[in-house]
Amino acid sequence: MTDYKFNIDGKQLSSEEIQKRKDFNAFHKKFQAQSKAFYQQNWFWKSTGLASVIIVSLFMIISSSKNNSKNPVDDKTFEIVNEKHFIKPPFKDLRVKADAFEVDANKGGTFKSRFGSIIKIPAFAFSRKNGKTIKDQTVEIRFTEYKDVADQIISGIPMTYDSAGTKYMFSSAGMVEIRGFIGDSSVNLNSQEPIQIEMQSAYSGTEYNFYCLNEEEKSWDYLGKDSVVNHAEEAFKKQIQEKYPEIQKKDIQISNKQLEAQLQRIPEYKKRKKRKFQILQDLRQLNAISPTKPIKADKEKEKFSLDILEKENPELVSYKDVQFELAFGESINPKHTNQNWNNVDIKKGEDNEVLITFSKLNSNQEIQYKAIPVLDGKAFENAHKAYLTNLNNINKKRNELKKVTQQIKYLQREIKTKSIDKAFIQAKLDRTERIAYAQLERRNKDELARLEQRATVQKIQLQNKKTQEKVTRCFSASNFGVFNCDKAIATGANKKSTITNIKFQEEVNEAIVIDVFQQANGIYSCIAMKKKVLNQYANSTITIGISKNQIGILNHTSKGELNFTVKGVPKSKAQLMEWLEL
Amino acid sequence: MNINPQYHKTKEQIHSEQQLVEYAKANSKDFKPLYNQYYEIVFRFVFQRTGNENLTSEVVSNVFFKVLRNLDKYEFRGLPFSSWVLRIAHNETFKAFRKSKDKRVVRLETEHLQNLISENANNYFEELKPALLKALKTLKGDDMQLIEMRFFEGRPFKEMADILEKKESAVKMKVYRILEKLKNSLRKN
Repeated sequence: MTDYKFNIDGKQLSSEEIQKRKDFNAFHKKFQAQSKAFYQQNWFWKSTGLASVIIVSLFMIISSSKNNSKNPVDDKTFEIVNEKHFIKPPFKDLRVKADAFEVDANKGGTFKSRFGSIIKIPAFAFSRKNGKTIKDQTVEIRFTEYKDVADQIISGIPMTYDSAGTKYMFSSAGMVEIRGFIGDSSVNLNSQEPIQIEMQSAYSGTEYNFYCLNEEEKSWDYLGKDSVVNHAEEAFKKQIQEKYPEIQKKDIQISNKQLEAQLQRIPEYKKRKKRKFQILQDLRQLNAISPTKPIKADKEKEKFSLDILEKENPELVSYKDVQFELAFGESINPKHTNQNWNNVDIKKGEDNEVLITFSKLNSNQEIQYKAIPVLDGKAFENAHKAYLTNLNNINKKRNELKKVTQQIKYLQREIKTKSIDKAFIQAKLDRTERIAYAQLERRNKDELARLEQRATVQKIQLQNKKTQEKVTRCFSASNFGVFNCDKAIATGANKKSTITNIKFQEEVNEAIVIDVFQQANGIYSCIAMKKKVLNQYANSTITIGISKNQIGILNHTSKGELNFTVKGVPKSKAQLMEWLEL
Repeated sequence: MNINPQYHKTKEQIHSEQQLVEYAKANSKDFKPLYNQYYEIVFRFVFQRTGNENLTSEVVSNVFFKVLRNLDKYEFRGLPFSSWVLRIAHNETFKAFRKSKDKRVVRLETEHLQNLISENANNYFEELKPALLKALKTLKGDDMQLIEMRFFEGRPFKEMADILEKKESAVKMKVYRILEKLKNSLRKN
């Protein structure tokens, strides 16, 4: 058992108390005093011995394999890449903040930077120095975005472009640096699996070209054009689409009332409507007079007939020649046959049946029979003939009605289609007009905003406001490095002078001179040396000098004398921007 | 249990720290930012285990001496530089204990002890406290180290694993086992 001493809720040391004990200078002095000279230390002699053995071994191995074909490179061997000499950040402790993402080499992934830029990495996108695809490892992607002139200055990336011997400066719409590492060893990109970068940019123009910094050749390689997605334009389009959606024919509705009003203006339609009305009336009449289909009397079945006095029973005249065949299950009661029945009432029953009620005057006696009215002989023939004639007339009228209804429907359809077409065209015209108005309104607003921006540009500069990012610039990269969406522009040198003196805090022989072109979002740097010619540019916002890590602002140049007001070493981007009045 | 946010480092911090390491490798004078950055962290780490300010100062000095002397051997493997520094601090602290034969100090707050007990048992904390301390005393040095890092210092498992040069999963497993052991001891008592 370990003997512990528990100190519960004991004295807490404050940061101030601890800080008081901190003394780097004393520590460093002690360290230097205690550190022996390298040749006095054991490791030196051990390492020397070991190194000798390794050198001899290597020499033997190289000698023996000299004539052999290429040896496969050990998978675990990576080229150690430190910051390329070509890119020289001018300030030791100041770098543009980078994003780091861990990527599974087998899966790839999509990553978003602090500025909202998207990096899409496919699976198996990384390769080793020997070209072998990296598998089953995690690669760290370091992604840096250089958004403005301050970032450009801090980065130390040369922002000049040489075209046929003429030097141009870059007006940048955005620059990114992307690199991959396993541990602290750099890896390459597999050229078969390029990565996609969607860089957020504050510059919406399409006149920018796409360049990659060739760190070996120390120059920018022109790669063509990036593609630009204008967010403001896309948002406006979306807004328009939501407010004035695309009109489809199916969306156009014509009410029946509207349609009828239009149809009434067509004489042909009116005529047909009238005709239809007439036919319907005729049909009603024909149906009203139409007798039911006569049934021929069955000789085998029991039946009776009515002795109808036309004067007394006019309603029964139509049954004069009719015989009544007893319905199924009915039979005549012989008691009823020898009696005189004064009243007869006939009512329609189910199917062809009728219910016949016989009654007497001055008596409550009443009898009922279910029977089917039938005809026989000549009466049946006449009735059947009349029935057929009437049926024929009805069918004729029905056909006529069908035809005229079709004609009416055709006219309705035609007029409806024409009306929809007309309304559709009108709706489209209205929409186009509304969109045109919205665009005009937007243009006016933009114009107004531009005017306002121009008026307040000084204020914005003072407040160091960031320009709103408007577009996404998309490109693919098949190698790691620095990529720039730029247009090469002439710097517009308007004066040349031979430098007689360079004054920082003290006189120096040379300094890096950087002209800042804020509006173009670019810088132009060169090394100013005594007795050398220096160009001066009318359009630069400010000219600065860097000597021994210190920044100086160029006040004026008289007789070739460069006079810098020294600001010091910038501790942050914000401080640099403040000094540069960006 | 809350993890102390001061022990969490972003990728960006780790990367910029790496830059500082590179500068310090080139020139020992440039070790100053790292020294300033880590002095308090290392001091608190050692003081937690010694409870003696003067001894802590001495150990901290040795730690930074070793860090600077071995800086060339340090390889960046994506881990925070602090893990490497604290690993050295851990070794130096226990080296100091071996030399001085002082008792190992465990500094903790009442709240930390409560963290060790389940919420249900918190109502009986005062009754359980002596038994808990007794149970803690039965822990071996390495086990106590884990409990201390996790519950008294609030370090994430990842960092614990980095400092102790163990796998994160192994550290987790070990911590859960120690907790089980403590629970059993408490039940017996």
